Amino acid sequence: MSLIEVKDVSFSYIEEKQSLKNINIKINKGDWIAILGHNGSGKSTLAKILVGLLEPKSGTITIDGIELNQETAYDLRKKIGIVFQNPDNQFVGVTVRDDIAFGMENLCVPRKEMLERITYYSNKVGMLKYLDKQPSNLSGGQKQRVAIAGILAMRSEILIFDEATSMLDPFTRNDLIDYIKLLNKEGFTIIMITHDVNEAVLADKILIMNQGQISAFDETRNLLKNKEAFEQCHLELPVALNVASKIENKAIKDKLWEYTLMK
Amino acid sequence: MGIYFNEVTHEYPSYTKKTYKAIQNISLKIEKENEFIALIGHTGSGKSTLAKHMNALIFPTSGSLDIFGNHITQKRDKKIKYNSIRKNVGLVFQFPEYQLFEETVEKDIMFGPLNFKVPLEEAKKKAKEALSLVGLDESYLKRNPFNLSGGEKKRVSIAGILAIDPDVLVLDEPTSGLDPAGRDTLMELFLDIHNKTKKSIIIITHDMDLVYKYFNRALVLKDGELSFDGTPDDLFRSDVLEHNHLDYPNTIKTLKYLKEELKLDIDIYKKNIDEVIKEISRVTSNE
Repeated sequence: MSLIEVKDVSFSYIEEKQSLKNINIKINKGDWIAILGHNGSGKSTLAKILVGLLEPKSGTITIDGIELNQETAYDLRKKIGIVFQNPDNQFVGVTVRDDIAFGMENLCVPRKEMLERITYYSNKVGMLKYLDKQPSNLSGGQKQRVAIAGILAMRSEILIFDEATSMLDPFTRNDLIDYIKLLNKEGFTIIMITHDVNEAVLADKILIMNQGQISAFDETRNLLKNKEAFEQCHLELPVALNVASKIENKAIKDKLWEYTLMK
Repeated sequence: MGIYFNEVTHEYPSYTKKTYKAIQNISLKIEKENEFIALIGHTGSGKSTLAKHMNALIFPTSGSLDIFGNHITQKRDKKIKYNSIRKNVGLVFQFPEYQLFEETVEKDIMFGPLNFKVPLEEAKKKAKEALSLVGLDESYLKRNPFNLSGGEKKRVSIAGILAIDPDVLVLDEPTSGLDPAGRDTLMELFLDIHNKTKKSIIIITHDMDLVYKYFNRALVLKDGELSFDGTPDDLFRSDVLEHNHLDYPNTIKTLKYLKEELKLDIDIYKKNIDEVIKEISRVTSNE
């Protein structure tokens, strides 16, 4: 049985325009899925529907065998953590510490463990020395890191990152990616919405969205061979594969593929 | 004329310590014309704070600035027309939500021009033009900016500043959250504006591929201090990146891998895909 099953889901913000059309996806426990797609293709809308922040106009979402609806949303949300595109959308605490604690308070995590997790996860994202600062005084990238720590501390088994690394410097981003790899190995299910194809190739599967529909969904290795799937949706291939597609030398081609799929 | 920093330090209040120095002792000259500058550095290194100084949105805790001939110090000076500085230097924020506030996209973009006493009809025209420059069609004019996707909001916030037509543009991570096509369109737009008008443009970014491909000057901030000022090429050939939590462009990383794995005698400092392919065919044709 799939951990997440999205069946015939459609959604629209305004009547004239359907934001999601007939989405069907199955995600297994421990999968790492990257979602690519142009701006306005419905990626964030899909994420919000998965966590029950938006209700689909039609279709169903089933998580761990339970259908997501108003009655089950509260309990199911404990299984799913989401980090938003703009971290300001999720800050509630007066200090960084309060903010990381907030999600855990709702889960009734005992105080001692809560404090341990705050230290552990703020350190993980490199924000340990900022615990007493106000989130509003932090830089954009630092805010993203705090938002990520808050979600990681809840230890939800499904983690959704909605362009959560877009404002991180390369070093912090690589660090976070390494940690996500580790979580995924431990069995956490990862859904990563991104515009960075270099980040997407780390996933087991890539899903491409185009104008509210799924235009491709396949194992990363296979999908990368499908240059048209990328071009159709105005997406780019990683630099190495872009080069590989334009040269003849087989030895170099192979190395470029090896480089791209290195984890 | 331009934006000149003279030993500028900026401190923010903090709960624990009394203050927190976001930038320290920055001296820097940015000329009004011919500069296409990438401002880079790890998160929290002071990039956005530096940018906010460029149009006197905040005042230095110590030191001073000369912005288009206006002497900016710690205190607000009644003789200075801050409004006109905003026409000299246009700043696009990192988060569009900080900037957008109107009911419709059109009103939002018109806000700047109307503030600078542009007549209504002309402001409307400017809004339309700016919107098409950032790649959105007229159907967006009547929409509520807060119902747009992240990338669309970003474009509207950029259009709002383009409509003012400032002398110098400062953009805080304008391409983060944009899809590759949108990112390239915008970068080409900025480059086009720069080439046609010579106007200096300063862009904050974490994307080293863009830095290498487009810019003629790179500034690197580390813990609030300026740790590099030079061409991107010099930057990527130096060891500055390793000490600054930064990464190399994908072209360099890819070529470096080939060089090491296949023991190729290859120049890894290539700015874009075409150059990379050329270099690879040069090496392979020698064999």
